[in-house]
Amino acid sequence: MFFLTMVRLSVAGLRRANVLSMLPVVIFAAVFPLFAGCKLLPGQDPLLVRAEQSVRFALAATDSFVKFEHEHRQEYPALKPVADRIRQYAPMAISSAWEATKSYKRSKTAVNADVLIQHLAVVETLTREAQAASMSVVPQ
Amino acid sequence: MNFTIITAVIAIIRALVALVGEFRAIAKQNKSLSPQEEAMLDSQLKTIMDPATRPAHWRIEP
Repeated sequence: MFFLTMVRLSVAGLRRANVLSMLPVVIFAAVFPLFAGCKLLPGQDPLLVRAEQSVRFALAATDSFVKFEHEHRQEYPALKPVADRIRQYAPMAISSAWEATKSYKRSKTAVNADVLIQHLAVVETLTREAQAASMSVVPQ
Repeated sequence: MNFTIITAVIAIIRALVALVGEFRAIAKQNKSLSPQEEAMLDSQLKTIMDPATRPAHWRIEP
């Protein structure tokens, strides 16, 4: 299903002869694995493992996006404000989420779990903003 | 479809392939990270947090 959607979106982008329309595919590919988590080993804490996955995912997705923008800035100048926003906020947001994850791992209290969930929500919001922003630069 | 578009499509596909490979590894994670993996993630985050070591693509340029 995932690959089918990717292929359909890519073909749609190619048909419009506009590579910008493929950018959502990149973001979509970044978001999808979060919802396709595999079964955890017995005894593993789902919150902890999913938090670690979210942090790793957020780092990989944002790094990939800003790298793409940096390498193709002249071709896609409209992406720079989005990428700069990610450059400004993502490192701190992801770092904070990672620190909260480590705190929760050390001490699995309800308070630490709440803090972790809040930090993860910030990271997720940032990713969603990047997705919305990249969609907004796609000519309709 | 001109040469510029083909080049850009190839660039996007390459980025996508690299990304999907990385995400598949993340999605396969079924247990908490080991200390070595944690240290690696720590190092990656420190690299982009520190202005002295931050890669060029993470720097905000005018």
